[in-house]
Amino acid sequence: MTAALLMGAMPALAGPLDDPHVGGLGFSGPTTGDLTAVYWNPAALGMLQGNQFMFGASLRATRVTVDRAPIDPATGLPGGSRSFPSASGHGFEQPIAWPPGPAGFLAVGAGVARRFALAIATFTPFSQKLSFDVAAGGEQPTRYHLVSIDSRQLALVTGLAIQLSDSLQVGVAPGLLFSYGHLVYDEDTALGGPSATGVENPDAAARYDLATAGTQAPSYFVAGGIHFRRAAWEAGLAYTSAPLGSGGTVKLAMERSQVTYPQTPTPTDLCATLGHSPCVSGEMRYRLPDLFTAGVTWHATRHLDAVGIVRWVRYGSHDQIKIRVVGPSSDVLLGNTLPDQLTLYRGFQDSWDMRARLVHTPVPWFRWSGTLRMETSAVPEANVNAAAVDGLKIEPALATEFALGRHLRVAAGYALTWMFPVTVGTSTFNPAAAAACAQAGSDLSSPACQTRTAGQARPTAAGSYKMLRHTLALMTTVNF
Amino acid sequence: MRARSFTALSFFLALAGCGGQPQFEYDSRPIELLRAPTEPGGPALGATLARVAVGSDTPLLLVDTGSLLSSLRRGVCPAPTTEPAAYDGDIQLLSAWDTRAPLRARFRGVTLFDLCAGAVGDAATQVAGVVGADILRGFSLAFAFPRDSAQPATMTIYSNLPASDSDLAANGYAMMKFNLRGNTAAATASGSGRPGSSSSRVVMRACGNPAAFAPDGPAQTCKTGEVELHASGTNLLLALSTGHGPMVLRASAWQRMGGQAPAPLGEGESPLYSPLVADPIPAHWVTVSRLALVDGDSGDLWPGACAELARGRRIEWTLTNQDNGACFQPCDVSGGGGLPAAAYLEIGSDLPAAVVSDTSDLISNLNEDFPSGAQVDGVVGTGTLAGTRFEIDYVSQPQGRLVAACDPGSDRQTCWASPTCVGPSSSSQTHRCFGLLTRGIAPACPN
Repeated sequence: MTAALLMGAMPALAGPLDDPHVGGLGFSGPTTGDLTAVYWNPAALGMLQGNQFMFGASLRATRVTVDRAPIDPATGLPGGSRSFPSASGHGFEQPIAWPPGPAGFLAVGAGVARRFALAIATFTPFSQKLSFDVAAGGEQPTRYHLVSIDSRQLALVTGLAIQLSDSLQVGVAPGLLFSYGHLVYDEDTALGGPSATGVENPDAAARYDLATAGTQAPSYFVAGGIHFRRAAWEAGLAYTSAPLGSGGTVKLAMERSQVTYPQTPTPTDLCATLGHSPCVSGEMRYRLPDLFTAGVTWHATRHLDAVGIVRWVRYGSHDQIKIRVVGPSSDVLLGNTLPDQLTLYRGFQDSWDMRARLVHTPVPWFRWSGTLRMETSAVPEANVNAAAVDGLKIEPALATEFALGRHLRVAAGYALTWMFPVTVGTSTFNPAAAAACAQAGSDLSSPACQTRTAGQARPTAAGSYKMLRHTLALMTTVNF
Repeated sequence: MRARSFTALSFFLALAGCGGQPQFEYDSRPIELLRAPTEPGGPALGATLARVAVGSDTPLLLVDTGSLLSSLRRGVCPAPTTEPAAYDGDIQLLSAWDTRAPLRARFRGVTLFDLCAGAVGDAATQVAGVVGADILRGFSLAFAFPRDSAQPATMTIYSNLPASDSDLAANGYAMMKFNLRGNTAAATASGSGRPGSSSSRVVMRACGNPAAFAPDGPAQTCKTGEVELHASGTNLLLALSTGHGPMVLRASAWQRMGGQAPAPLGEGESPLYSPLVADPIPAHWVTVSRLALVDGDSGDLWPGACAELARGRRIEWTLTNQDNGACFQPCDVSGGGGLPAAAYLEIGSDLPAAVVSDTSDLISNLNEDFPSGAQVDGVVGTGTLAGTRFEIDYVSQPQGRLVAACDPGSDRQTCWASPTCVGPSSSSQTHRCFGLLTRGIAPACPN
């Protein structure tokens, strides 16, 4: 049992939306019999004995560097004379915020008569936070894909596990998902329109600043799993659904939104004539992935466990972000000169998150773990842009845990995530398609308009992308 | 590239599935439409027209929110006496304004009827088919009808309208809820030979010929219980049809408005060409000074469109003159606070209207679903709505919404969109209505 409790696996960083560190760093996984099982594998809750309370927090600092390839100032296509300064993006995630921030974990539960276990937990399975600085000379090279984003999906989940036999347990965890979003990016009004300013001219950029008013009415999802143990082996398999009843789609009412027109000669706030702000309503829709998680723990000796974990994150469903905005009645540009229905192309693909871990427990009151995690990219190379930076990632992590008396354990861990640099040569984003579609009279049957409809008729994202993330996690467990 | 294109298109296959379910493809950008003449010899401000691909031909296609069924003839026109055949077909909607006729929307696997829709506006404007409300009701449709006939009308297809009622009101839109009418059984006994249909026709409460109003004009008094006494105009129930140009009124409604209907009706005058009936309809052409579409329901306690319009105007007058000591009239107060002012869209002036017989096929068609209930008095057409922009949010729950605004620069006498005004409930609160400055609650006048 001790070995089972000490097992676990610890991830490090995952795809652009997914938090792979739910429940802390270094000891959690689909065969872990503590409250983190509500996320990893509800069946493993069946190993819970007595009452337990867990709370923890992670601090995640992400740095993204984008070096865009030069473009032709007339067409916007890569390969011209206009170059860009390097763009730096930063994201710092921590749970002490409102609406509740990412990277936190809070749970309470109890094992009942060695047959059942019940728990309730809150955590943030999906989040993304990144903000790009204004570069030298006031340029914002990533503005047409991302200026900043703060997206959070806070889960409130109940878990139930049943011990079917000494070796077999099943569990289920239905939950609610409370969403919050704030997205800022620019539209190039010169793309596809009669403009003498040329593409990617900041004076022709309209800013879309879209935000929810707090968290939204929840969507719901469910997780289920099975846990099996025999001799020195444990295995767990779990499935977590995407939001149910909506085809996996999350729908956010962007009630605190604003659209600022390009400089003519100065930026025009849509709300200026109304006397109140915000005056733009909107909606954002996107799909979240479902995921499969499998894990195996081998209790090699009394003091050493070996753990393997694989997660299949079905990012392929996250293909687009659909946005509609509704401006004030006095405005006629939105919906004509400026689009009021936008598609931000994502084109994600499924990713595989694999980790190997050793957990060493030299004395009963102390253990430590070392984890090496690798995750494949959720974003095909051609689709990488400032809003979706991803590639093959390697993450070493170290974690340690001390028992302070009979009831209290404190764990801490650190992970460094390094993404192999991604160089986008041929970007899926094609600014020339906007002009070609306009010339075709917006004919839906033309390839250019199909590109525009898909959200790919935007400024190119060709260039090189780098990402580095530091994660520091603390977790406290109280058994009572 | 093929895979990319497939991905792009598949997202827009809004209704899904396999096995013959309709599929829709659109880009939520304005589709430019021609407009038919409002009447023979009239300006091109009437029925909205696209084109449709039929083989190598691109005949005109009517876009009509008032038609309950969609149609597209497959060959020569069948005999009028023949029961129209239904089939699952595709409509490739092309822009009629752009001479290249680009594909702007595609409706696949929809139920169509093989019939000739006939003429709209005048005898020369023949259409090969109709995209009716049975298809359109699956969307939120934004229309813009410029007052200048040299400008195209536009229609934009959205999947929904993601704005709350209160946000729309705060941002200056007149938001009016509507009910859908038109549910009829198949093979009706009307003799029209038309197949059955489901409710998809937008029907609005309206006030015809209300008195002119200016917020700086004289005050109107109204004691408790007199709200209907101080209304001006005639309550109407009108279908919203982008397939008609003028306003259409049945003779009895026109007479309620104080007008005269000669007998026989329409002798020596141009007939009305309606997409809802095969033959031209004898019509008497008149003008209506102004028309207001008013948000409201059909409940027994509802005072009617004209009374709501009058109340809205009184409340606006009070707020406009609040600094000069204006107070809410007793009939507009409940529990110490002002009653809400209903949203309305007022259009003027001297709107062309066709008066048709109560027994005409058009009026029968409009009331076929509800012959013994509240009768539809006629139609609001696109010519009447020139100078306005509106969105028909069919998919809003539990009721559809018509969200209207006037073209920028419109003067009050030609177009005025008044959002609902919900006053503050206490003196410590403020509110902002009718484009006025934010202010606190006005006192109630003594009864």
